[in-house]
Amino acid sequence: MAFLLFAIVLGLRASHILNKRHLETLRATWWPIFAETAASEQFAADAVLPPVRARQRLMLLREWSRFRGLVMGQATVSLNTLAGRLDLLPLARRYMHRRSVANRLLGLQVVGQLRDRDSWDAISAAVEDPNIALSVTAATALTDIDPDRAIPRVIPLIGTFVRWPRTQVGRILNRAGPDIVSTRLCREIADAPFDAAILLLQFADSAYAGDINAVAEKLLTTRQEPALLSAALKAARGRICPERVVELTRHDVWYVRMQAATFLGRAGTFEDLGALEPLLSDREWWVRYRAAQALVASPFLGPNALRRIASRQKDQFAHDILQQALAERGLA
Amino acid sequence: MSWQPILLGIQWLFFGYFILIYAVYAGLNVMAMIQIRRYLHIASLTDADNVFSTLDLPISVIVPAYNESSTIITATRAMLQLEYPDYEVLVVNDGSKDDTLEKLKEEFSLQPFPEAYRQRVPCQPVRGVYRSLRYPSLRVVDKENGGSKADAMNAGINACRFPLFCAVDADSVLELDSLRRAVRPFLEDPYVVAAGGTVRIANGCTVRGGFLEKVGLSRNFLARVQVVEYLRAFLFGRMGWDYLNAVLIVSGAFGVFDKEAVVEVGGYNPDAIGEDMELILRLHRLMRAEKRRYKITFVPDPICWTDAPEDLSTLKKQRVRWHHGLAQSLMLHKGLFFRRGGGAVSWLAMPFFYIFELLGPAVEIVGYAFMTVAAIVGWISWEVTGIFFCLAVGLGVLLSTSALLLEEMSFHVYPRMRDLFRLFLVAIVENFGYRQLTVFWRLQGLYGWLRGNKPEWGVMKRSASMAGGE
Repeated sequence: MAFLLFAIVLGLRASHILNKRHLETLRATWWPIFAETAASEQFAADAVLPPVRARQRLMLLREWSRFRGLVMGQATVSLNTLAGRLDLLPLARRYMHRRSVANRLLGLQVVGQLRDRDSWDAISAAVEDPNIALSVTAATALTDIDPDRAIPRVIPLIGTFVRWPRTQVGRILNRAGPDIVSTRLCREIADAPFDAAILLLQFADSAYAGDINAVAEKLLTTRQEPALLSAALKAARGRICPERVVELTRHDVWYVRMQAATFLGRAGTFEDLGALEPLLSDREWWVRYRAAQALVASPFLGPNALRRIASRQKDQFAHDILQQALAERGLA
Repeated sequence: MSWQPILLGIQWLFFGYFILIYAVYAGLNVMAMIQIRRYLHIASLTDADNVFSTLDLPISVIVPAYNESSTIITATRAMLQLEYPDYEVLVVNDGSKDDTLEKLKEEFSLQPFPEAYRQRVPCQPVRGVYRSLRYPSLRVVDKENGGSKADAMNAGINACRFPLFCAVDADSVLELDSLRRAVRPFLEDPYVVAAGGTVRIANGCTVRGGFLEKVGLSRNFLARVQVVEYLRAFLFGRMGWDYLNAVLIVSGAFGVFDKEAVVEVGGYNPDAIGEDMELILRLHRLMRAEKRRYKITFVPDPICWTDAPEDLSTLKKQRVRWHHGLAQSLMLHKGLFFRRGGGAVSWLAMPFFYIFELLGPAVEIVGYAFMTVAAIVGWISWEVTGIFFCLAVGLGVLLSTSALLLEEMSFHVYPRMRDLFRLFLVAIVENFGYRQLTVFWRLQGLYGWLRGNKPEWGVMKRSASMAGGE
């Protein structure tokens, strides 16, 4: 049995070496063509292309997709025309329906890159596949094909598919751009239940500051869940509902107080400095630290004013934390 | 009264034990294959777009150092070059008696820093915190010696700033993208509280400037055997348990943790010999007790390389210590054993670790002795004894080869064909003497724990590969 297993190991290694060689040959032939195509304004319809053997087609599809993933703008159009000449689309569509997850992933990725509207329904069905990799690749493909149509379908699913890799979701939203994402995302956050709202707020950077500030203000004034208040304070990018934020610096839950302090450091005014100073004596280190950082970063306080604040602290913890924040800025 | 049925019963008990242990390993193997394939699918997707996302979580790399004067500069320099958008390096000088701190001060232009240090998990007093004038992301915590790595790690946890921390040994060699790979599970699943990385053997590899330049196999037999052992332990041991969310060990050489979760359980236990395993068991215990959704996971990519002992004396001390630590950790958390709502941790992993990992050496030694004596005195036939030994050895070879298969299906770390043959040869040879020797050492570890002895720490002689990397 062990010898049989080792024979399989050797077989795998031999196949790995052969595949690697084939891949190197294929790359040596095709990557210059891909690069030339990407660099040219338009793919020359009469260009002479090397012959592709049947067994090379899967590898070519993979390499084309990999190269296509590296370029943007006009280059993608030229590469898609080249893919048309190579008949890659029918191949990708077939792979999309294969049993193997790896092949389905490749198929979905390529139909997305080729912006194949005819595959919309099939991809749309795959978005709800229980396999996370398949569902998130399908969502990416839909966004590649038609972001206007895809985003309203994808955004509600972000809150549902909690296991979608956040990096991938961030990439989908960034590719679609704030013009398409902003309003939809913010509306979804405002209407979403607790868990989904927290998840969606992590992608606040994909929305315009005005939209996200409006929804953060709404959440801060209407909702009470500490985790949601904290997420809303973190997401806000401008000065919103100052009285409410100051009130939150006295919240029972420490991370809400910490986010309120961070928020005041980021968007507070001279009037808010008074709310930060008591936080230097907070029982939680992070609240003290964020308050100290906020004070030190404030454009309304110079080094002397900060030293005066430090010297009037009766609480040793408050004094120490402000000293640390000053030292971090080289002001100690 | 006839002894025959009793002898037959004992004989079947040993046979049954061996068959059961290998059946479990075979099951773990299958689960590991599924898990690795799944992991590679997702990794191929996210690797294709090799752009750092702004969503990457900031992380503190904690490097405990006790008398690491000869390695600390290279190690710290290597840590500072890791490819990751937002991280800090925190070296904890655990009251070193050599010039570790002085070397760090000189090399990185360290200046005392008025850190408002807060003690959230217990550790020995901190004498000072230093910040590098040349590397803003480097800080050094100088503390009184706590007599354990756990105590130094706790000081690091107290001083670190980011929500995740990475525990790294000062003599670990990391891949440039180690952090990105190890943090990925936290990005993909918000319920992950700890992620272990695969540790590989650095002996025989070319290490330069603290980074791995070329993978190779050591000429030293012991180091080669440990390559196979580590493949077995990490690729199908941990990946298999990962499938069931029942990983019980995250290696101390490299692991990423959610800081708040670790603080909640009280940090590392300074009295634990195997502080890495003890922490994971405590995390399981807390999460299970509070019925919280959580995941302790494992990253199969080879992200950390470590020096393995090349002499019997150091290897013995290491194995005795590891088994002592295993016994201590399992006994400290016996409450997890068959606990209602404990899931795969309580009902599969813990019983497996108790019966097969902890008591395995005792059963194995007694089994070998019994079968041999029984054959000599004629209680059982030599044929049966022969079958027993063939089974024990054959299944051992099979397991090691299946680990090679997993490696070949996934990462192809050893590029040369002759390395594969050498590893296969080692997978066979290790079953004749070496395995029995390590079983005996593990039994000594168990005995030492029962007697309450404190295990010895050997002085690790650095291999040529690591010494060349200074």
